[in-house]
Amino acid sequence: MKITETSQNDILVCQIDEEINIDTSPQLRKAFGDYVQKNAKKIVVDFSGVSYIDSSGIATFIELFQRLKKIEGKFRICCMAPKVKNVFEVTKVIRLFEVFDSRETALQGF
Amino acid sequence: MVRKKAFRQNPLTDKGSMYIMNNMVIEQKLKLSLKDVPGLVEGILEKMESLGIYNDIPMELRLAIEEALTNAVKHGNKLDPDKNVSIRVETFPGSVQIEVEDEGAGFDHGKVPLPTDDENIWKTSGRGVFLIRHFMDKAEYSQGGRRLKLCKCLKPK
Repeated sequence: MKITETSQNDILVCQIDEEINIDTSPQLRKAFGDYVQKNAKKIVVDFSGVSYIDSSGIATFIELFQRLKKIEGKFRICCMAPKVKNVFEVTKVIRLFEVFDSRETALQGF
Repeated sequence: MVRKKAFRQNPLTDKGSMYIMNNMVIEQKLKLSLKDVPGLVEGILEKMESLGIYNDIPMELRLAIEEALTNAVKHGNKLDPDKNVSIRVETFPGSVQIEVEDEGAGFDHGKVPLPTDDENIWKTSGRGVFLIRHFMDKAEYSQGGRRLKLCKCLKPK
């Protein structure tokens, strides 16, 4: 799973450049687990390189939300392609997360 | 639709494939692991694209087939490496029909909780059947839940 991590002040920006499917989602889940273990309390997940997501991918984000909540952390999502955003919308999970059109707006006021 | 080629391992073989005019029938029985699913579906979609009969093969079709196969391997066959998943894909000028069958105990497809309900929205599983039903034009279970027949209308070229 190709993930690029950068820091902007106290915000961890994680850009995913890979499909999120049944084969790759376990690796994403592990990466998210590592962030929480390192006490990252503000995460922006950049979906610029994500062209596909399935139900296992959706599950990793619900789990990330729950794990971060335990350490009083939160995350934001940005740059979702319309077809990927549609999967979040159809399953209604989009209303659980903060979703932004661009990385800049996701970083503002976080 | 331009799909990014991932060069995944593809368990699909030419054995069990039949081409008639511009249509095809693929019929295979495979011992699948979860890791095999994306490559298998990529192989099926590539064969469909190579027929040149569809204007576009939407992501939703790929998603539904992958969810169906994942469910067959994970929930149907309980990840048993000795159990098979049968897949049959038949193309028609304006549609595609897919059948997926596992060798598990079956399940009551009528009792799958709605993942969009408030009491289920935070669960980390249970969205596969919902996505299949949402994105496919037809999704019918039979054989006690072991067989799933999907149909999707596609715009012909």
